[in-house]
Amino acid sequence: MKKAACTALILGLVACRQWDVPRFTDDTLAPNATIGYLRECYGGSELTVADSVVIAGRVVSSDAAGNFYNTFFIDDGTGAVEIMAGMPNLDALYHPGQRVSVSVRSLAVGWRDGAMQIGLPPEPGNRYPTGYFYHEAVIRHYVTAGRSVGPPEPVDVTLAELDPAMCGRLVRIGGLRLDSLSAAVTWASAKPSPTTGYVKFRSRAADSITVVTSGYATFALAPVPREEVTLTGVLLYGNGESSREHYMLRLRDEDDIEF
Amino acid sequence: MRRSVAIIVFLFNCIVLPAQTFDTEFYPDTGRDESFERDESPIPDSDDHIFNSSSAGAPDPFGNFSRYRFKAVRYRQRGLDSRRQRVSVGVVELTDNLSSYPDYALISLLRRSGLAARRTPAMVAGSAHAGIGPLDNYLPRALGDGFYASLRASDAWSLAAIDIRHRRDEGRGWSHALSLGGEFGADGHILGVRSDGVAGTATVTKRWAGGASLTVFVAGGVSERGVRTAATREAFEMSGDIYYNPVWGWQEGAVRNSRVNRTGQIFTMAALEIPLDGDRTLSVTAAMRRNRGGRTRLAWYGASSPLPDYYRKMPSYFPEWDPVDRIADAWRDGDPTVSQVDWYALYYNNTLNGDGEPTYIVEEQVEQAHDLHLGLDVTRRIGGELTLSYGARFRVDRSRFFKVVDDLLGAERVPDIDQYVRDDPDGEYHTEAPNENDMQNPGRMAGRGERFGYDYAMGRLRPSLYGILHWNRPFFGLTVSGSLDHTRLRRTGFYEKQLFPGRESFGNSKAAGFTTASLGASARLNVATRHTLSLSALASSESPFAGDVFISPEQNNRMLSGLAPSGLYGAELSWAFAGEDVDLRVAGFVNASTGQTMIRQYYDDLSSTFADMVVRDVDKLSYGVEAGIEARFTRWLSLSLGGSAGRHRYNSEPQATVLSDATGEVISEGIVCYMSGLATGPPAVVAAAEISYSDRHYWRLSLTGEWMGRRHVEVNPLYHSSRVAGINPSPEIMNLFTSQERLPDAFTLGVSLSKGFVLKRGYLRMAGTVRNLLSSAIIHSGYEQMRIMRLGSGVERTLVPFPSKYLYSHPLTWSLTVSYRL
Repeated sequence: MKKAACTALILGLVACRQWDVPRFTDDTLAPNATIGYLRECYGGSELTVADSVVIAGRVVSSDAAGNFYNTFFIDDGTGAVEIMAGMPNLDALYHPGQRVSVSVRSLAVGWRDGAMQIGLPPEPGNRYPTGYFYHEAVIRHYVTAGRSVGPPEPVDVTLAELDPAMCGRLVRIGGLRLDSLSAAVTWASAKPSPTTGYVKFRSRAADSITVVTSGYATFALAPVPREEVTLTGVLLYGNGESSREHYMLRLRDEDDIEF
Repeated sequence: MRRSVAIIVFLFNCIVLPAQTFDTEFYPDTGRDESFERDESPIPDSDDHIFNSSSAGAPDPFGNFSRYRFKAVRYRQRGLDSRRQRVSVGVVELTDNLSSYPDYALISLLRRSGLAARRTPAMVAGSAHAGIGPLDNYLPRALGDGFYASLRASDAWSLAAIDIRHRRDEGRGWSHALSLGGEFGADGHILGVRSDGVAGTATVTKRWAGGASLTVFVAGGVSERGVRTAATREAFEMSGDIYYNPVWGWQEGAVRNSRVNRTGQIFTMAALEIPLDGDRTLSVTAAMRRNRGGRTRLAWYGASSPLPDYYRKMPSYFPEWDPVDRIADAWRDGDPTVSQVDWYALYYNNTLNGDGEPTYIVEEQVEQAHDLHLGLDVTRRIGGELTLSYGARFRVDRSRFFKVVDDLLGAERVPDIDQYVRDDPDGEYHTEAPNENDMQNPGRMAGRGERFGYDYAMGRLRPSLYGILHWNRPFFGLTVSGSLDHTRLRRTGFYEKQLFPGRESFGNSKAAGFTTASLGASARLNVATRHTLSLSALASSESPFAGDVFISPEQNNRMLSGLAPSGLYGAELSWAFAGEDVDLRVAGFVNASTGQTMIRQYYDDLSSTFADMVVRDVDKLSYGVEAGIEARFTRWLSLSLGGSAGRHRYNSEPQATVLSDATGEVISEGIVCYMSGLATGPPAVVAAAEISYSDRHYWRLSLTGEWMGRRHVEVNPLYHSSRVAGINPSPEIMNLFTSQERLPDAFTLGVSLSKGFVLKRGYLRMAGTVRNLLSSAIIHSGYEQMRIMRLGSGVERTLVPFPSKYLYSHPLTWSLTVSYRL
């Protein structure tokens, strides 16, 4: 008995400690404004928010396939906003479909490709309206990721229904075919250096939308489908590679292409 | 006797049962474990002499003196690579493992067990092979009676240690010795560092009337050590703590270290000594070592490094002031979620992955080593002056290397795929990345405790023949030794990696064979009474280390082509004076290694690829002078002085090739590494003094001062290569790459005080030691990272070296020991 006790004691002293999964709390803040309302209020303005505004939404973008970089979009059903995180591998921190709240006070609002951006106020001399948070120690003072994760639901629309107020939102558009004048073979080019690709698709009604793909995306070299497809992505509105503003779609990954 | 049997049963329970939890395997290399270098100097005038009385070896005041000195920095006498440290148990060499590094865990165990360690000088063949470093031979003999117990408390490395040793002659030629020790608790200065373990040894010896003897020795133990890693100056400044350790974080209110070294080991040996006649003795030795060692670390998939000192998280990385200030404030405020591992966040994010797969895990890299050693030795006296020893050795090593899921951090299972081959391994588009780690089990998911990642074995056969001739005359001595070895290496893959199908990764590789030889000679001339002049020389060839034969052994069977044994040469000239009150020895030495190959695995920023840098024809040269003196002024007062000055440097400009780790394609070749003249290894200049006073009432006081100078960070071959010069950096930036940082000189003071009490039964001693009395901030060691940082973009892009990383030595530390012997 003594021997067993001694043995157990010694084994206990050197045994590997087992660690339990912690109990989690959801620290997201309750929103006091919708993103759509914020868009309306600040429409087009570049400013630093002085009011105590809290918005919340679900993450609708993903940087896992490399087509989004440094930022992510949240959508609350009324609109969407691009969060200027300034960090890679955001999927690990802000999972697609995860509910996120943002305390907007003292943050800067800017606009790019029709989408509202929220980030740190830019440094003096910075030509961009918003700055990156860069670090979890900074962003977590404003952005809180909750425990609720659900599949990000895209909004089903036609090209004719598109509205600049939808920019930043995840949309699904059916009945699209590669523009007959397009010479695109792949979504983007990766050699000799990665270059952003712009591939125009048209609906049966001859409306068009351009799919924007980073040369760093994992599917950049995938063949562009010739058949009719349904595409899902984050809607943008800007110049792209042309002089005229037009709607653009940024896919998250290849699963956003449905045949 | 009954009590002894009970102790043996108890001891084996301690050893064997925990070992079974380690899959009954063993683990050689706890390797490069910094805590191994802890100051384990014996307490002056400790009672250990009853077990260590034969450890004196050849008179070498500096060698004996420096053995337990200069621990505040990374120090090896004469700049020897730790892979050339020579340690053996009887005729069994414990060093020269497949993993290239000595079996630190077993050596630590032997040190603590109280076994006698006989030191054979450099260049001299102790048992079979001569080497350029001295040989410490632990002799498992159970002679004499004695009982010893000690209890130590300390604030460095661990909190407490206990050791018990017992030795007894049972009569009729039987004797036995037992030792049992344990070490527990955390370091008092470096959070995350702790040491817990138990170990024991048992020796049984039977001597027959004819002079024959049989010794059976068993040693074993289990241990778990939380370790620290080096950090950049920025991390030390931000945290305000030079003992900052980035690899731990808080969980459940306790410190959880992501880097834990675990060992479980058992070593058994039987040695039979038979006198064949009056002049010849035959020894037959068989030994087996089983070892399981694991090192845990964080791994992450599709995420940034969770380690707080990752360069992309440090303030210096960011271009704008506002975030930089906020990040720096978080560090300075001691926010543990920023400056340490944020375990909560890792669990939080893992449990949000809908598929149950982890983003972060703790993995354990395991090596299970099995060695078998056979030795046949004959010692023959020829006349009164000549002794000839010769024999044969046969050694079989087989180490299995694999990874185990240690903790999924709230996730369920991890896919057994190569997470770095998600796409585009060859620059083309793939609908499915060829990322299966094991095509024999595609789609496999690994749970906690299961193997994943890689699984392969490295096998080695090594037969050896040797001969040693000693010629001893009163005023002259000569030892000549020679050996001939053949080493055969082979990798066996148990995973068929999708990137390297079939025999490229699965099954046996081709065998690599190397025949090597050594020739050493040592002459001693007593030029006058008390004056001895010695000259030793060694020339040998060495087979490459197993890790330098296979380019990427975790992945495939690829071997380097054109490999050949490297050369190892050494010479020493010394003069020694052995007086009544003074021992003095001055020695000049030169050691050289030539034609070595080394492989560095790293992320090559110039090609944005995980790569292997194969560096060939690396030559190193060490030379210098060392001197030691032991002076006994009175019966109670003595002084020891010692010092060494020299250089330890690279002596060639090796050629290098950079290969893609994933595909094996050549990324860059014909690279010249301009390393000739760069310093490597320990400080070039060291000096120490110890003055001791003791009295008839068993008081003893000693003061020690140590100085270590001309130290440098360890260079990497990339920064000093034509590959970096090829990016055309400005002269200022080129200087950042090529200049080798010199570390500040270091000085420490130590004091120890002890008092002995003669009891009715036995002897009690209490001792206290304080090290680094001035609590100086001393950089223990530093090294250059292999990464290159890109700053700016476009035409303003600049490539600069990563900052070097450092470890600091302990501040003032103390230890208290109470020991008793009967």
